[in-house]
Amino acid sequence: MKNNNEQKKSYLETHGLKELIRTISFTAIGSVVYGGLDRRLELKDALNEALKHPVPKFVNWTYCFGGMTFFLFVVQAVTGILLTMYYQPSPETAHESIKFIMNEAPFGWHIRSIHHWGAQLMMVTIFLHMLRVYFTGAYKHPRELNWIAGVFLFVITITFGFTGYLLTWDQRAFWGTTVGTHIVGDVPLIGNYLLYVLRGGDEVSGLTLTRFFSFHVIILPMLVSVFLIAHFAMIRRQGISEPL
Amino acid sequence: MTDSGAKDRMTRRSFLDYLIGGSLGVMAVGVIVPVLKYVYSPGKKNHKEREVKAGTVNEVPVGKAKKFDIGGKPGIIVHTRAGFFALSAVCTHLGCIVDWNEEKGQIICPCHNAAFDVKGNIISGPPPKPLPSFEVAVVGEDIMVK
Repeated sequence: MKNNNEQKKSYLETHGLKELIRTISFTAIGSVVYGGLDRRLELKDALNEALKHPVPKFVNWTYCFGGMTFFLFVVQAVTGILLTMYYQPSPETAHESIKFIMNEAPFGWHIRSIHHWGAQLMMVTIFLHMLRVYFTGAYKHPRELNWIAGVFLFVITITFGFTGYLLTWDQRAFWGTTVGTHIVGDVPLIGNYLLYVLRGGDEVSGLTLTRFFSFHVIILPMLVSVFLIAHFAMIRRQGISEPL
Repeated sequence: MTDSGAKDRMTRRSFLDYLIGGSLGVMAVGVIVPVLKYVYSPGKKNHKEREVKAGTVNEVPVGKAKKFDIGGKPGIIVHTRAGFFALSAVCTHLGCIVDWNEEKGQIICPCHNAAFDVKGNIISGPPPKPLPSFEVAVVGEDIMVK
């Protein structure tokens, strides 16, 4: 114990207060990554490989939109999980539970507002990311598959937005979903069946609500994770494309 | 680290480092505190309330019982020919909510079949202690419990 204290002191003298604070703040991560685990699994090298991966010279701020979209996705996941602690996906209680989140639960308005605005922003950043990829020609050979994965991610994100829209279970949500799902009915031949499956019946009802809830919090998150992993694995493997 | 002046006086670089670190710390607290407060259930607000209206006389005829809330915890009020009896409805064994059984004239815990009389005394079953009882006062139509 005493030796340890002396070591700390000399460390402070040689490295200064800044280094000490930095060390303490990274202790939680550091003791795991640079400690016993690293001796067994050589995590440090793997982490350095990931964190100190060089980025090509031509990369500028427009290359950040993909990362921003992913950041917003993480924010949506965290706030979404928090919202499920109070949200009740039933036609009788859905709207009441949201009123509870907004008015009674401490910082509930804060969490839900972040989820709401995060969803809007995510559509903006994902679209800007898509524009950047398009205008730099980054979708071209050999990166076609990553473009396709990206299009799937885009569609899944829109579906996230559409299913989340119904969960507030107010007039706007109800009629928005009535009109939105109606579009599916125009698919040739199987349209009416698709519409029935999507709504869980002939009309938007409580069955649609629980169905959309299941999509929003279970099915789509699993689906999006698969495509995100593929998206990131491919960009790591192939590198960032040079602009045209 | 090689900069020997770092321990004597603050450099511009380390000042900015502190500033960034401090801002990040403030932001982290600003995220963590609301989340913790949000997760910690809002629950009942009047934990301090010691005297509550458990119901009205009409609601609880002779032979019947009613649950009520006192200080955020459930209580049970039983009306027998001997009058009103108010008890904590939390079984002293493992905390299940007890029920009034009219046929037996006993308070029964559904979890392990413990039986209490209307004064909270243990008749049978595993509870270590009797149910705590409350004072009851009938004020006009209202049954007041404390």
